[in-house]
Amino acid sequence: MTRHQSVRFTLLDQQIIDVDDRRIGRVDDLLWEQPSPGEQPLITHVLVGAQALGDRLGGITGWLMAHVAARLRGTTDPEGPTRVPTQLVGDHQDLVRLRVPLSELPQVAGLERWLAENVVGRLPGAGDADQ
Amino acid sequence: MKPSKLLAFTLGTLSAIGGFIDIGDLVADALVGARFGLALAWVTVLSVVGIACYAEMSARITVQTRRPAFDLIRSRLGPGYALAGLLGALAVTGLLVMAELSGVALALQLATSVHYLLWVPVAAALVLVLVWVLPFETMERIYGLLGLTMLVFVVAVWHLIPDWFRLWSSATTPAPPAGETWPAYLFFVVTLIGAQMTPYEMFFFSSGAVESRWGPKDLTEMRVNVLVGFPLGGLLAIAIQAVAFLVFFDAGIQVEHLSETVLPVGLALGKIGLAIALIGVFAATFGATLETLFSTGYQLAQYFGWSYGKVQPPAQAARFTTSIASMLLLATALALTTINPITVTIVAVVFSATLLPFTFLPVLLVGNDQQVMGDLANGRLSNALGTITLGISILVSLAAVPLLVLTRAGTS
Repeated sequence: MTRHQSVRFTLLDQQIIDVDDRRIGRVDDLLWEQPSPGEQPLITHVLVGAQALGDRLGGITGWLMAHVAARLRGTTDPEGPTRVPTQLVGDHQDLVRLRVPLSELPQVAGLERWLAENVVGRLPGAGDADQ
Repeated sequence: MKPSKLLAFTLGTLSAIGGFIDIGDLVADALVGARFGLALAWVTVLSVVGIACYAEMSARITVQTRRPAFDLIRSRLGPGYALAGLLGALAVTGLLVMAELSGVALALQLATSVHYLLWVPVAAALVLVLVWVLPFETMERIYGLLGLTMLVFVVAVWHLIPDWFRLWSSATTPAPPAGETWPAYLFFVVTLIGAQMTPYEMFFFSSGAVESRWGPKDLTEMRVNVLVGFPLGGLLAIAIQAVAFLVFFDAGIQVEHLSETVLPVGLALGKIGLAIALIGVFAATFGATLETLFSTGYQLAQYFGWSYGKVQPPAQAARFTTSIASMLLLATALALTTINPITVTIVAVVFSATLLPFTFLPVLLVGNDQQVMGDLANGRLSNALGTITLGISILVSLAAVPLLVLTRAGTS
């Protein structure tokens, strides 16, 4: 039996965890592609991060969020919000589980890495960030 | 039942009692008792029922879905609604962190006669060190157990040899006593609800359930904690109202400082009683500092989907750890501006009351969702109590700010 399920409830805004159960962000937006007119649209990428969320929210708050997030990511990253190709998404029954560990997605959770390396990880007893 | 399991039960319940009382209660209860006697005791009963219902519901949801309250607010009601909720909750909880931290410092001032502003940085440093060093459960249990010394307020009621009939008649007259106005009375209804039904308790409780990896087998323990702990916390709150009533009401003394909250205990039980009460105040505000501080981190992390919590090493939840540290720094700075912590507390609990329905609604919605909750979905009792509480919280939310302005925070 197939039941109609809206991506709004099964994918969008859900928690993303990597293959090691580590929380890495939420599905802040989706990238679509329609192969040809009339066909079912396909989700190609999952967008993660405050930049994507800000763009989606719109308004002054959204603009502010997107721009702050873009600034925090720096200039070395490719333009546009952080994206994860859908091929890397596994089971998304409850949480959205990726098939790879966070360490294989260098573009995701940049602020987390930076803070872990430069601030929190330098304190005694903070543990290892790459465990 | 194994002895270790029994110990876990008791300790969990104890921390629920300690967790219920915070600076908001200590201030609001004494203030209300001095001005209105026990004429607002019914509000505490109502708050206990309401917060117990929603704490149980959100912990049950967490057990079933492994997702805490704020996480669900966003996936259920969308990022826009959740962002508004997040900003409101962060502002209120942030103010409360400052108020609780000042409470710790005020307790230390009462014990040492050194001005509280000098204690604020010390208290903040103590919080930072303990959070860094101690595991989650140990932390929770230490202040829960120490908070039990607050029961000295209940003992003090007896030692003041009250006219029980007068206490009873005050408690059963839900109206302002002579010389007080209805708007002021209603303002303190809102204040007490805001001080006692705090959303951060719910966030903390359900995030704690995720951190401790609670499963369906822990449901009984959780329910005992809620159903015994919160009512006992409520009893404590009423005891604080009662001693303030017995000592200050006839003399017409207004409570304006934390020292006046503990003064009746000193009158009833002497120096030892006062010392025990101060330990209780210290533990309760210290525990609440940790709870409110963690709640701000949980709210942010759960909205954006960051890793959070104290179970993994801090470097694996770097954004969460950084936000908590920044919030503590901000609260310390705010406390050091010499702004009156009692005023901040009253304002924070009134705004907290305004936000209540926004946090209750999504919890009630998810609790009712058979598809998500299965066998653990709300029963009739949860739904009835939850709906009534939501209704009351909507009324409170609408009335809070107008009453704050109209009565000038209850002063006229």
